[in-house]
This record gives sequence, structure tokens and C-alpha cells, in this order.
Amino acid sequence: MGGLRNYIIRRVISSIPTLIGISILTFTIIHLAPGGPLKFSLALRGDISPEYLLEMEKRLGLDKPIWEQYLIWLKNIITGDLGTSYIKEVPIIDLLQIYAGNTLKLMFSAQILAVLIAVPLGIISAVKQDTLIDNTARFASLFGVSMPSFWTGLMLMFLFSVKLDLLPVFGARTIGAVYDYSMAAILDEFMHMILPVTVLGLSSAALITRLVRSSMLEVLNQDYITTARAKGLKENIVVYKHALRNALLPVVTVVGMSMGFLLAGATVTETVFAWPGMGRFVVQSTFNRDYPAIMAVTMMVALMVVVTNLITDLTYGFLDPRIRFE
Amino acid sequence: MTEKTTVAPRKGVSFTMKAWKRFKRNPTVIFGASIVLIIIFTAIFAPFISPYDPKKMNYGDVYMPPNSDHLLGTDELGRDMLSRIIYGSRSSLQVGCVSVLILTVIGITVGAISGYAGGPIDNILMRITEIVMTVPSLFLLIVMVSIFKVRGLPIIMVTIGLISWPQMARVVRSEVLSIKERNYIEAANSMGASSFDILFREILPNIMAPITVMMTLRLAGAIITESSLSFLGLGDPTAITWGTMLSRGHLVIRRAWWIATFPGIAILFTTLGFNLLGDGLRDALDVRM
Amino acid sequence: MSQKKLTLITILMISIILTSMLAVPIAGAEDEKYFFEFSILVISGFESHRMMAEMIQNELGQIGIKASIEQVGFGVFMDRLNKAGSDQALAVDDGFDTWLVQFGDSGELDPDNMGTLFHSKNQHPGWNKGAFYNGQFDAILDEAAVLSDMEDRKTLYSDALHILAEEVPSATIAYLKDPWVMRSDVEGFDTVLGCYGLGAYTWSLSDQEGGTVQYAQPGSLPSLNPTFAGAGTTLRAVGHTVWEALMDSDSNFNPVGELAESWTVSDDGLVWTFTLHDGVLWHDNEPFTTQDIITTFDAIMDIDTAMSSYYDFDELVDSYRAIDDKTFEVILKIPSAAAWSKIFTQEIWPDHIMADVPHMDWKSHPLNTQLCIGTGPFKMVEWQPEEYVKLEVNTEYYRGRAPLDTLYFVNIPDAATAMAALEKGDVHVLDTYYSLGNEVPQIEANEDLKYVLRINPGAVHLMFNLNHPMLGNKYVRKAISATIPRADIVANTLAGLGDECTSFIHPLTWAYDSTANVPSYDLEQAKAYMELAGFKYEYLEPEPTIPVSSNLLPAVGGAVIGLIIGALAISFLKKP
Repeated sequence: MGGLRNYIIRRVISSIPTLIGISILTFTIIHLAPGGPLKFSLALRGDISPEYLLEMEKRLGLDKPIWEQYLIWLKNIITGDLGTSYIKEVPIIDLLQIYAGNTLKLMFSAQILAVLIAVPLGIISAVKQDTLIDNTARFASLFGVSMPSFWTGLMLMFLFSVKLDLLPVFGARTIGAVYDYSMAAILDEFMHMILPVTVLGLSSAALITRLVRSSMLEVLNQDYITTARAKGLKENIVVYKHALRNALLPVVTVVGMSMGFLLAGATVTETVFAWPGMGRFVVQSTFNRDYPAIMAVTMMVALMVVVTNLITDLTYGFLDPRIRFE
Repeated sequence: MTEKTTVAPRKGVSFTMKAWKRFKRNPTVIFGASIVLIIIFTAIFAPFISPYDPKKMNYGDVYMPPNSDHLLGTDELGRDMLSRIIYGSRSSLQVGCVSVLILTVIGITVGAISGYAGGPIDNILMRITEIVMTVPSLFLLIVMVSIFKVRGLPIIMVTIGLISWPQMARVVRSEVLSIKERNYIEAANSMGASSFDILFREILPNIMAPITVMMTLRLAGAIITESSLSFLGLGDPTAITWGTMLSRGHLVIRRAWWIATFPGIAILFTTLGFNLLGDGLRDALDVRM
Repeated sequence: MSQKKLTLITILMISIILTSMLAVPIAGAEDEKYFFEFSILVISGFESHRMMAEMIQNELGQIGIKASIEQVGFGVFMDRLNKAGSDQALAVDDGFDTWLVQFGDSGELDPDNMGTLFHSKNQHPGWNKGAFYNGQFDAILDEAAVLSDMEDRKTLYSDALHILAEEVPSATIAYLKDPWVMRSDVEGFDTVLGCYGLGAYTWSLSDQEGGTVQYAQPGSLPSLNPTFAGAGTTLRAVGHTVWEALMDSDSNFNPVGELAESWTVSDDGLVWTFTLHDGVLWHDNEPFTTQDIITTFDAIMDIDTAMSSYYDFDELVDSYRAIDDKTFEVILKIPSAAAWSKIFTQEIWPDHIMADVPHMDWKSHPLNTQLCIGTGPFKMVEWQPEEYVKLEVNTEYYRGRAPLDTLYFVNIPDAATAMAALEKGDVHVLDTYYSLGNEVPQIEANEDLKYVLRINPGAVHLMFNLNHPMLGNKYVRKAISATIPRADIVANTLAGLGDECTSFIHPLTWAYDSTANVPSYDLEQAKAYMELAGFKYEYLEPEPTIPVSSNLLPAVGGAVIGLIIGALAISFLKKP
């Protein structure tokens, strides 16, 4: 697998310009916004004298030209220093550890749930094309994507948490619970995940269902499937062994591609369920113009996108032996 | 990576007839199309249909449940919900249309150039696409609002368009990639047609189908995005949009369920309509996405 | 090629739909006649403020003024206030024309509050962001601040109130009573000790000893030190639960001792002598002494520490000294009735931790975050920045331990979620910041829930930027003030839980003068003021009902244009 290793190394190296591009873009946008970052965060604390502002700017290096500030930031981030939040006065890495973990947990579970719902639904839809089952499945999946997720979330919350009293209302765990990996703690976290994951997964599921359906349909009409059928293979074997494998290729792409969109969705879901995650953190930071925090989160997301793209391409190779990593 | 061409018309039956048949066969598509038509009709003829002025406040009649005077009740300032929902169709569709227009123009340009030119240009453009997908959209929105002096709904429409083109660009690129290897393109090429002519006269018309499908889907997406922005407190407080009504109504849902429910249903049906239409078009035009 | 035909039809249809939709006028964008236009800046997340702004906008339309509403996050809000204060910027230049805000979260019933908002010495960076200046008003306030005779002071403040009522530097709207919504079993909440924090010291649960109370807030805590955090969420969570000051106020806004067991004021009002409680311990068991106060005061008096109370201290405090371990003396520059609330409610920091820390580094010291060591009835034990802060009862507390065992301040951003959590019993109390006035009828109907009202000493104001060419005219301001439907605002947005504003200070304030009234709601009077300001109503035609054609024409026109564009596109594509 030397080829594979080289491929990964090449991909990682070639993603560096993207990451730098993202950081430059975000950094520029930050400095386009009126009112310096510091003035802004200090304004939250009430009256600040101009002298103090100047002094603090000097200390944080904000009096230097933008390109120099950028280089300093770049140097820091390469050495692993994400900076300190202007608002919270806490190293951002401490905050990100908690939030990113929570958000990733939410996003991956949602994506897995989406795939679990969507793939079977899509296959049934395609195999039974234009029947009642197909139409119902498609209609249901479209329902998921047609409702604003905060609305779905609140409805589910009222139903399952308040009226039926089955699930907790908010948070990633019961307030005050300890992370001790006991059965009770794991169950507690699981219960808290059900609603947010469902809400986030639904919209993603709708997308994937449609994709699985259309690519299945396409594969099913192709010559080699027809041949397989003509050879007298059982329909089930045709569908699951030959067609599915090929139909899953585009699904993998979309699952990888939609990570960025999922984060946007996570922002809303996290706000509804008071889920302490990155989406909410980025909203808070944006509202407060906590620039080091925005930069850190952006880079975190960029890294996530790059990594998922890489994983997507690798998965592609395993699903489709024709693809070689050269 | 494994683009296959499937849109080749078959002999005998004309493509249009085949498409129309597939379109017709599907009751959900007819359903979707009718919703879209109704919404567009409502938006255009809003002043004729709505029973009251959507901005007329009546402090005496706040939180009125649905009744014979106000079919869908009144909101927290005594305004007629039905009229607001009817007028809301205008701004919600406008949000959809403006952002879709912007994302389509950028998406087609980037995608077509990227797919047709290939090589380093393709590489750079795809990198840019990736970058745009990554930068937090909320942040872009706030910055846009502070840079441009225009505030409120227009800037929201434009921003939604500016942040959601990458998907379109990717679809267009992959379609262009698959089509540019075909015989007739090569023929045109050898006859000395300019790249511009080939791109816009030969390739583009042939990929209109996936673009149309994408447009209907993104239109629904834009309406949802607008309502989510309102929910996060980034909407236009004075605009009459379903998103604003919904995000306000959810706060008083115990006292007045109708304020949030009806705009929610309106959003649901509109986006459902556009999604169903898009789905139907995809099946009818045999597009893979 | 038939597929191409279909494509062309699609293009045609899309362009028709798109352009007709682009051309449809959105309701609210119709052409109305008005004299001038200004913007109302509102903090997002405050539903009642948004509703007030919409009602004001609605009424202003009737006297020919067009108001637009801009809802922005708190940070942007502050940024724009400062921009207006420092650069005289109007709303178009990222400043403001008017801002709608509720004052008084950290205020008290002191008539000197007028000065905080309107004295010219408090122009930017103070709170007089709209650049109001009236020399006579300034002089009166300066004089009243140093007088000790209450009757004379009252006369002076009354004069000041008359000036404000004449000049209308802001349109006062309503005095609020904010509801805290809570589970019925939460007791001891009725006496809200202190307007600076929450009186968590007295809370208990009816059916049990000790117990845990979860208090939900819509925002997260920026840090755990109220002095630097500048956010109400931090103040309510740890101000006066973990941190303590020399004095606090009771629920009637009268001074009471906190760390100070008693205090005396000299006859000239200049020398304040405090006797501290015995046996006060910091949460790390170090004894509390006068040295802690000195270290804290030293830091505040140094501008480098960047505490917002620097300006008050600089203005009022002459010197201070420890007489012994338990006695502390402060000498003021001028006698001030408001001194206790401005100076002595400042949280005290531990000397044994902060003594060697340079003042510049106080702001970023871990004491503000994970360390958080105070003297209060509760100890901070755990802080998850976006989630919650956990406080546990301080069993060694010098006034006796509080009834509760544990107190959580939980961050739930959305009000609907918070209400759901309360109904389910996951949280016990919802903060006033959720603006739950609209829920009151539902709460009264639910026997599991109740609410406690707090009189808010400050009013909701529509503050004017006097640099605005039109709002600089006092008759325009009077007209706007006379257009505000105060009674309807109180009834609608506050569910009747407030009072209409009649003056610039709260009616409960001792210096209240019922003759110095602001222009009250009267559209005819408002129009008269507008005429005085030079606006002639005959120039405004009677408001026309918008003809249907003008509403429809753009859409039809758009469709036609779309048809043309589509046709052009087709002919372009078809050519070869």
C-alpha cells in the first residue's frame, strides 16, 4: 500500500494552500468589519479610556499592519497556540476541546442516523419505483428537508419531553452529572442526544434518500445488471450485491460534502436544545466579534472539511476497486 | 470520478414526450407543481386576496384565536395573521428568487469555467469553492451587513446567494466534465468554434436540466435559511416574512399557537412544493445529482 | 433536438417567474409620504423591546415620520453607541439615530441617575451617547449632588426634571416590573436582596432541607467576575453569591451592609467609616481583612486595571485607609448621596491572591475564571463556560449558611426551550432576561408555576442622538414623545406588568415631581409640535390608499421583462 501512503501525503500537502486561503479570507473579512476587534470586546465591559485601548492594542499586537498580524497569527497557530478569547479570557483551545467534541458527536451521530434511515429507504424507493411505497418514502423524506429545523426541534421537544416526559429538554447531559463512563452516565448522554440528533439527521436523511434512489435507479437500468438478471441471478442478489455497491459511491461523496452544511444546521439545533457545541460558540463569538475565537473555529471547520474530503476519497477507493490511488 | 452519460435521447419517442409522461405519471410532482403555482399566484395577487392591511395594528385585538373575522387569528400586535401570511409569500419567494439568481449566476460561471478549462484553473476555482463552503456563513452575513450600508432583507437575500453557490458550481462542473468529451463538442471544437461559443451555446443548453433541478431545490433551501436566520436573531425585524413570524411565534406558543403554526405550515408547503417539483423534474429529465 | 426545446421552455419559465418575483413589492416597501426618517436601534433577543419599537414605528407613521427598526446583537449595539459618541455618527454611518433600551439593571432609586444619562460630563465614554447638553441642567445637578438638605435638593431636582421635560433628550416609555418565572416550590424569592445580584442567600425549596436550584439564563457567562465581565448574566450568577461588597441594597433599593456590619457617615457627608463583620473567610479559608479592600481600591483607582468603576472612583474618592483590621475609612472629595451605590457596592478582591499581580494583568487573571474565590454564601465549584456554573453552599459563611445546598446557573439560549424545561421541572427559575411578560396568563393558570415581580428602578427610554439634523429640534423630540402609545405598550408588551412613564425618574424616588411631566400620548398635540418645528401638514397629502394597480404592475411588468430576457437567451442559444 505504498501508493496509498503517498496519495495521503500528497493530499495532505495539497490541502495546505486551501487552509491558508481560508485563513487569509477570514482574517481579511475580520479586518474589514468596522470598529477594531478589541474596541468591540472591551465595549462590552463599559467605559474604557482611549489610552487604555491603545495600550491593550499594543500588547495584543493590534497596532501592527494587517499582514504582520496575520503572520504572527500564522506563526502562533503553527506552534499550536490558538490564542486567548477576547471575551472569555480563556485559552481558546480549552473551549474548543469541549465544544468541538460535543459538536462532532452530534454531527457524526446525525450523519450515521441519516445513512441508516436513508439508504434502505432509497433502495426500497428505487426497487419499487413509482409505487405507493416509493411515493410515500419520497414524500416523507421531503418533509424532513422542508421544515425549518428549529421548528421540528421544538415540536419534537414539546411532544417527547414535555407532554410524554420521555426525553430531557436541553443540554448534552444532565446538569451536574459527571463523566465517569458508568452505564448511568452513558445512558444519560444517550438520552440527551436523541432529539438533537434526530432533528439534525432528518434533513440530511432526506438528501441522502433522494440520492440513493436516483443512483440506484440509474445503476439498475445499466447493462451489466440486465445481464446479471438475464443470467438468472436472484433479484435480491442483483440489487444488494451488484447494484448497491455502485449506487453507494455518490452517497459517500455527499456524506463527505455535507459536513460543512451540517455545521450550519448544528448551529440552529444547538441553540434550540441548548447544546454546548461549536455552532453556538461561533454564533456567540460572531455576535461579540471575538476574533481569535472566530479564527480558531473557522480553521477547525476547515480542517474538518479537508479531513472528511480525504476520508471520502479513500472510502471511494475501497468501494470501487477500479479507482487507484496514484 | 466515474461520470457516465445518461441523458442521451432514445430513438422513436421524443424526449419531451417521454419527460412529460414521466412527469405526469408521478402524482407527487403534480402536487408540488400546483403548490408552487398557488404560491406564485398568491404572491402576485396578494393585495386582492388579503382581507386586511398586513401592517395594520389593533391593540385591542391582540392574540385573537382564529375566528370568523380573522381566519387565522391575530398576532401579538393585533395584526391579521392571514394577511401577513399572504404578504409573507412575497418576501419569502423574493428571498428565494434573489438568492437563487445570484447563486445560479456565480455557480454556473465558476462551475462551467472550472469544468471546461480543467488543469490549474479548475484546481484554483475548486479550492475557492471549498473555501467559501468552509467560512462560517453567519459570520459572512454579519460582516456584509456592516460593510454595506443597506440593511435588512435585501442584504440577507444577497448573502444567502453569495454563500450557497458552491453546490451549484460543483454540479455544473461535473456535468460539463461529462459532456465536453462528447463527439459533437469535439466536432465543434475542430470546426474552430471559440471556447465561449462551445461553453455557452453547446454545453450550457445541455446541462440546463440539472441546473433547473438545483435551482428549485436551492429556492426551498433559501426560504428555510431565512427562517433559521430569523430564529438566530439575524433576520430583518420589520420585514413580513414567514421566518420572522415563525421565530417570534414560537416564543408565545403556549399563549397563541396560531402565530407560529400557520407560518410554519406555509413554509412547509412552499418548500415541499419546490422540492417535489425539483424531484419530479429530476426524474422527468433523467438527471443524476 | 427535442431536449433542447424543453430546455428552452424551462429557461423561459424560470426567467418569467424570477423577474416577476423580483419586481413584486414587499409589503412595507410601498411609497409613503413622510417628512423625514430615522432608525431605532434595538438589542436583539429582547422581544418586548422589539414590540415597543414596532408600535412606536406604527404611531410615528401617523404624524409623518418614518422610523426603521434595526435589531442588532449586544456587541454591535455597544459598538454603534460608542461610534456615535466618539464620532457623532448617525445610523447611516454605523452610529445611531435613536436607541431603545431599558436602564436600571445596576441602578437604584436615586435622582442623580438623571445625570448618568444626561449630564454633559457623562458624554462619551459615559452613557450620554446622544450628546445632550444643557448648561443649566448640569449646574443644577452639580449643586444638588453636594447639598445635604433634602428639601433643597428636592427643589433642585424638581427644576432639573422640568428642564428635561422641556428638552426631551429621550422619550421615556415605561417602568418595568420584570417577572421571574419559577416552580411553585421555590421559596424565599420574594425578597430579592439587592438590585445588583440575586438574593440567592434566602432561597429555599419548600419540601426539603437543602436541595438544588437550577436557574436558567439566556446568555452564557463571559467570565466569573462581575467587575470585568460587564454582563448581567455574570452579575446575577456570581455577584453577591460568590463575590461580596461592603454594601448592597435591599429590595426597596435602600443601602444595607454586606461585608460591612455597620457604617457611619460624618455630618459633612465626606467621611465614611465601616466596621467589618467578624469571622469573614475567603473561600480558601484565608481571613478577610481591611487589606483586601485597600488592594481592591488601589487597583480600581489605577486606570491601567481598566475597571469601569474607575471613573466613579476618580470622581468621588479622595483617600481611604485601614484604621485597624476591622475598621475602614473612606474620605470622599465631594459629599454624594449616590456614593454608597457607586463606590461601596464594588466587589472586593482577595489581597492574598492579587497583591503581587500587576494591575494590567488583573483582567486576565484566573481569579476571573476557574479560580473564583470570594467571601459570599456560595462557593464556585465548577464552570463549564457555555453550559453552567455550579455553586455550592459555603458552610462557613459568617451570616450563617444558606438554605440551599447547590445552585446552578444554566445557559439556555432560547426562551421556548427554557419554558419547556421549567414546565418539565428540569430548571427551577427563569431569568427576567427572557422577557416572559407575555406568558403571565399561562403561568397564572398553571399551579406548578408562579412568578415574582421585581420593580425595575430604571425606565425604558428611546434615547435620541441630538446630532441628528431633525432630532436635534426639541419640538420634533416632543412630538415623538407625544406619539408613544405608553398605555398600549404597557398593556401589550408587558402584559400590564409595568407603568407608563410620566417623568424622567421613577415615581417611587423621593425626588419625584408629578408636575414635571413628559408629553404624553396625544397625536393632535404631536402634530402641533411638528408644526412648531416647521413641518407643514398640508404638504403631506392625506395618506392615499395604495392603488391596486401600483401593487400589481411591477409583477406584471417583471413577467414581461422576464419573457423578453428569456426570449433573448433562447435566440442567443439557438443561433448556431
